[in-house]
Amino acid sequence: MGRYVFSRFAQALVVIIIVSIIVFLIMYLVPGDAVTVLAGPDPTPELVEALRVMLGLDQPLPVQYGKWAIAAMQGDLGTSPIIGRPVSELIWSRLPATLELAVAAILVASVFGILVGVVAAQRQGTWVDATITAINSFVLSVPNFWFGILGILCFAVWLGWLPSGGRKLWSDGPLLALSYLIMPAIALALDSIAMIARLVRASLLDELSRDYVTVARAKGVGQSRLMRRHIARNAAIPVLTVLGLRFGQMLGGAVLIEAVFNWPGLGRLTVEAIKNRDIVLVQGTLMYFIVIYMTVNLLIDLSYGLFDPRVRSSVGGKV
Amino acid sequence: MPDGAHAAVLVADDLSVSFQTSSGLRHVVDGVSFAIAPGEQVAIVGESGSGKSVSTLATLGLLPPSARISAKKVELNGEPLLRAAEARLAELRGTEISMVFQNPMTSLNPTMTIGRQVSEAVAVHDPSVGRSALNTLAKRLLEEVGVPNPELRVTQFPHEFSGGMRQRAVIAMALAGEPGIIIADEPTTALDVTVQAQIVEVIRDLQELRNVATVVITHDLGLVAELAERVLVMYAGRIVEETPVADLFDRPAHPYTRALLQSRPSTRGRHGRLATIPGLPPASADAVPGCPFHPRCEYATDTCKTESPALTRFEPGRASACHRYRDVLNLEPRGATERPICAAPREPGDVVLKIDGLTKRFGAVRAINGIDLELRRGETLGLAGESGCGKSTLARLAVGLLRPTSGRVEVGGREISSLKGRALRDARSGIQMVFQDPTSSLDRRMTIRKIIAEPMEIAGFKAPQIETRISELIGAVGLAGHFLDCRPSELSGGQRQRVGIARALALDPKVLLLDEPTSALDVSVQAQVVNLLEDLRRESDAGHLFVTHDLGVLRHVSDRIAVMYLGRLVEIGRCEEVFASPRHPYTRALIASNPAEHPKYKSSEKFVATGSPPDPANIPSGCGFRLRCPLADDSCAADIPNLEPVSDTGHRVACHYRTDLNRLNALATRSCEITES
Repeated sequence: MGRYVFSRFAQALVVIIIVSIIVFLIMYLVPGDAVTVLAGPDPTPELVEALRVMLGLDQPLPVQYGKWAIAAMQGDLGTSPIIGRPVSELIWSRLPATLELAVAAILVASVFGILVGVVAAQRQGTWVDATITAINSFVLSVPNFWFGILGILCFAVWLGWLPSGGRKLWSDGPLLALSYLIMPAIALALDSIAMIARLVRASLLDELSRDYVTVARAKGVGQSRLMRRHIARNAAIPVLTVLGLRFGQMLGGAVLIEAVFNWPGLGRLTVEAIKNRDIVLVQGTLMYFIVIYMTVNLLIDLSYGLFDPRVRSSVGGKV
Repeated sequence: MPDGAHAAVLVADDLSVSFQTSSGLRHVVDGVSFAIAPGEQVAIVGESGSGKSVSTLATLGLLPPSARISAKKVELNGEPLLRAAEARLAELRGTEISMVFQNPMTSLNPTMTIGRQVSEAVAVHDPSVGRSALNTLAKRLLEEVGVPNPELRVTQFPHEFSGGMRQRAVIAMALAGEPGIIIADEPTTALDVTVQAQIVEVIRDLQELRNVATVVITHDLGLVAELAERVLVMYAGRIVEETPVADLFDRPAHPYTRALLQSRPSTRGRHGRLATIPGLPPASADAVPGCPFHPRCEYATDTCKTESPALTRFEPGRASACHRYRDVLNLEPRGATERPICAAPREPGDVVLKIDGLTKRFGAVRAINGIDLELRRGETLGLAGESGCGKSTLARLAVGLLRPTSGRVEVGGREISSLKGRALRDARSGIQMVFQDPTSSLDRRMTIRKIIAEPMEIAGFKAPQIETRISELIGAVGLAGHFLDCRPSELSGGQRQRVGIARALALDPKVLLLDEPTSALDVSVQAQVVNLLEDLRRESDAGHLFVTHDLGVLRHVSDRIAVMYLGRLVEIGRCEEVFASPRHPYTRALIASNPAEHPKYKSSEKFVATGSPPDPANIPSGCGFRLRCPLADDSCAADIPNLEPVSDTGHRVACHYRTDLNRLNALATRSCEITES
């Protein structure tokens, strides 16, 4: 197991290094940089040159990358020349909002996704199953933010039950904070619910058709024990994978949902950075996103062992 | 109502099952009645689709919801089952009746320990039994079915068990609730021959030691001979014959039973052509008016076409559903006199396939460990061995699909193991392969014409030439021309295998490599394909390398046989000689493990090799078989025995004890009886 963890960790590290080079380079391929913004319209060549030296843009690319990477490893992602504050501090300040939204959304998605999936599988072929499948397809084909706007219209504008946007801290009162959180969390979770419900249904039906299920029934295992003791664990793996991937994405910030609900998370920070051509900040948020995503992925891979004993014993040798 | 129903454990009366399919209602079981007495050993025998599994699954309520079941009565210990609530059925399952299924690789839950799965039948029915009591029970049961080191084994997961050990665990599981009846559905079919023999012993032990009724469902008449006192033969959803086991083999009372017996190749001597049953079983039990077997029956009269025969009792314990059962009973039994042994091996021709010092490794796995082999024109060399012995790897190396780690392969005098690209493609046309599964080895989107034409197109034949050759080939494999425009899904398994053979013959190869070509087929269809291959070889003069685990087929088709174990040949020689006097303990184990062909040969003293073949990634020193061999000593661990001649006819054996007949005969193989008879 130790060797497996190590090799997966090494793989993740290689990916992060490669992606960091791409992230670093890509910003130089995009026309326009921070200098263009800082120098204002019609700058003198001297001002441009001075700004370039100040930002270190006159040095060869590998040197720039090296400096940037070493600093990044120490948690120093540079200072945003536009906002004038360290990037890590900016990310840190937005992280609680993003984390709160992501955790809430993934909880909603897993609870409802699994519930709906189980119901659909148990009623396979009936009108319940057909209705669920139709609703799932609809939800998956409509973008999340549309539901967000619809939600604001219904619950904020017409009914006035919930605030239309913004965020309140839990220290301001849990109920108040929750009233701000609930709509963006559900809007963000909707397509995940649909996707997980589909997956749970397929996964359960797949397991139900296996020989070991007939064997278990033949020795007198009843329906509920069959589901709990035999099927759940086997059906969990694909569901777990998708849940993890979704959570990884949500931790990077939900750009559109945050925009619709005016949620002060990382998604909006990234959008603003791109709008301002704030290269340093864009690089920083992208790197944060990649590291988080890889970490979540790694954790999912390692958790397979908890569910499947074959993974536990085979990971010693081969990768 | 069958006799003794009053004291029966399991009774079914007029049981019918049909399934709702997209093409209408399909009748699978049609008015079946049986009664299993306490402690009785019953076998239900039939080919695939005969309804043998469905009728038993129906009694336990284990069929999918699409099944429609009707019966006058289904009772377990006098309790009606048909309209019982699911909860009541669950209570009965595992405690009063339990099942053993065919494939031990899939019938265990991969995420639960063996111990828990074994004791679960008790755990679900009696929640008061504590965890340690369950654990003790699991250990005791595993020990009873011969799983060594149960203390450790109960904590392991299914993937840590070999196939044979898993099937033992499945049997232990079925015993846990101490049921009065165990139904075993093809319990040995998915296992290797030597492991099969071990499982037969386990089942026989529980038949003797526990007062439990057993119902063995199988297509294998050998298993019937080994495990049953009373036999029900099923065809097209009906019981066509009911009989004590000895009479089944000596005086069958239904033409179908008789035909099944005759289409079986024998390991006890080589006869002429196998008898075949023409045609195919009907798709639905009600598809044929009159007797469902009449279109395939050589004794059918006009009455058979219109009147469906009832299962008629004509002697105590014997019944037949045939209008002419008296005539059938009086038919000559099959005997050696009727079918002369065709022994004389053909004149040896040129060497068409030469394998020299061949080895193949996949990382740490040593699949082939030095094989020398020659195949001559017009000869059939049978290659026997269990799964993992490297026989399929050898076949792939021979056709150039894999590159050897060392050694060479020559086809028609041309070395192919080092060729590349175009040269390899050209050379490959000299050696063609027929695969085990005719369904997955044919592209289902292509027509039969296209499938047979493809190798010729690649080889650059002209269109008119291809067209002529296709009609020759389709005739040669015994298919009508109209099949050419069909797709594989419209053909039966046997017909598909004929197409596979036609494709392989298209380029007139010097060597035909047959990788288990009959294993996926039913007995009666298997006989047709075996006969076809015999005819083809006589006509085409190609050399056949016939890979199979089925010793009956092997003995029937081979001039010479080679036995493989862990990537080496352990014995090779003329077929009759090897069967009459096998000199390697492994060969003896293989022959002895083959199920008896008649209950009178069933013996509890036969030599059953223990354990299963070692992992090819972790081969023991010296002789690969020594860990399973009762003769093994220090010299077997020290060096690897070479293939040494034991006669001047080319019989060679890789065993230090090849000439020590006293010790070899003490292993008690049944092959010794063959020499005398």
